[in-house]
Amino acid sequence: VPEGGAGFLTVTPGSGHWLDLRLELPELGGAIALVARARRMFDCGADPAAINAHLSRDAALKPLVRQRPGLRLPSAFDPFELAVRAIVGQQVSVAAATTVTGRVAARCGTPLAGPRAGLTHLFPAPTALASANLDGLGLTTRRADTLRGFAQAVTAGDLLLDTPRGPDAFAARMMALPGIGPWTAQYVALRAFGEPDAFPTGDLGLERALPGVDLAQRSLDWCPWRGYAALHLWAGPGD
Amino acid sequence: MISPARGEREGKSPQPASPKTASRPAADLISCSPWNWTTTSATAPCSARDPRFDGRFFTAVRTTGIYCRPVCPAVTPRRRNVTFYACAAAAEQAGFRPCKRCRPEASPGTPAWLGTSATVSRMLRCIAEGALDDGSVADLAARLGLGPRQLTRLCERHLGTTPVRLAQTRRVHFARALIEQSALPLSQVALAAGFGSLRRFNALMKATYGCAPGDLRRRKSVGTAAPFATAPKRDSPGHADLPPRLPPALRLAATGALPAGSRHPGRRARHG
Repeated sequence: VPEGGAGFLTVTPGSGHWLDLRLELPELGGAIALVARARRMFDCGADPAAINAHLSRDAALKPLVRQRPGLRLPSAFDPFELAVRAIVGQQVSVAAATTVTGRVAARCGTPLAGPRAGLTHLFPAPTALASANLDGLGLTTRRADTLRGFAQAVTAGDLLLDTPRGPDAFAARMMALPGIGPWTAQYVALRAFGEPDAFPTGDLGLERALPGVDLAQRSLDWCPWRGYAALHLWAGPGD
Repeated sequence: MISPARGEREGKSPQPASPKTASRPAADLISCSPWNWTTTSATAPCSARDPRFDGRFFTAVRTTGIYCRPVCPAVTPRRRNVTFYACAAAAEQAGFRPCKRCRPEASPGTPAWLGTSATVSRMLRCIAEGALDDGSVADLAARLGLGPRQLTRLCERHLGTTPVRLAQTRRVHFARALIEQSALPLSQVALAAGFGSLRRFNALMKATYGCAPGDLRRRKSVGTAAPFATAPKRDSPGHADLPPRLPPALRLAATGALPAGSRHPGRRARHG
């Protein structure tokens, strides 16, 4: 959904080694950037051979890499939306976070003129969330304050939602906000921007995947592809 | 390789350098490759047309003035006539024209690994997502935490070209894909590809391809095969569910790491 109007971006598996992207836009200006954006969302530029070779040097990752040799690092279209999801998702289950984020979108977002495929609202803009009443949506008071504080920082331009200087520089700025720790900041760098070397140390799922391992230390071996390592660990051995 | 030789029709091409002088050699490729290619080993993937190397480098042939993807189906040129470039923009800056068979504009793009320099990767990402469409090189450099000259130097060193060239090449290639694969009016193509004006669009397309955008569209059957399926008509079955007065919609494939382009039935565009 580009700024200034709603559009639809539909991505479907192609009939070969590609994806089909369909853009429906109120006007064509900027279509080129949207295609690039879609490519980033689906991590089309990844080089699995190099990533796999590097991660396979770790005995714990090797079987996971063999299981999913084509793993990509998908990321969100709207970094703000993803960050809100991450904040809402702090210390709650994915299912609960999804429900609550849906309520936030329904209350503060803009309804779509022509809903489609279950999409009914545009996600709230930072300005809309900065002063929103978030009572009764299932958020703790502190979490609601964190959300508003985050939206205010983005609105005021204090927090640039981009990672031109790398995930760590972004995480440092985001962690300066109240209620935001390293997990949230690194998770946002990973999933909002597809930063290949972002790594949410302290993630419960990652700790469970490699019990008794000092992740902060061990993950240094996985640079500059710590993000892919995290995805492999989350996905687990599978079947 | 079917294209007319470089400079054949264009006296006032803005490309200053001759292919001989501005070669950006494989040495640079080696420096940014994790695999330590040597100059000779880079020819192996060319003659094998190995799709894994598609998008990682381009081969330019001095005798024809054309540059190609490593997967180009054309006859493998003699090694001594070949120069390697890390990106299409560098080959174009050196005065080469894109091959009309393998279509460098359809290559899978510069992969994210391109980085002994993470900054260069991020610069490429910013440019791809429009940083130089409505901002200056100085703005882009500031975003990346560099001075403008520092950024230009870094770009030169790793890619053999300038940020502005990268942005231009990307627009030109996108426009060419739309010209050939869609029925969009040329003014809309220019808009979609991020050109500031039609004049600029016409000038750059002509400089790159040696002919006007309209000629490219008329000539689109040139090549080995019709690469993209014909767009279905608005009223054909399967499109009845689209809302009326649909704005121009374009349909393009974001190519992954594997073969794209000439055998690409998924790429088509529809004018609504």
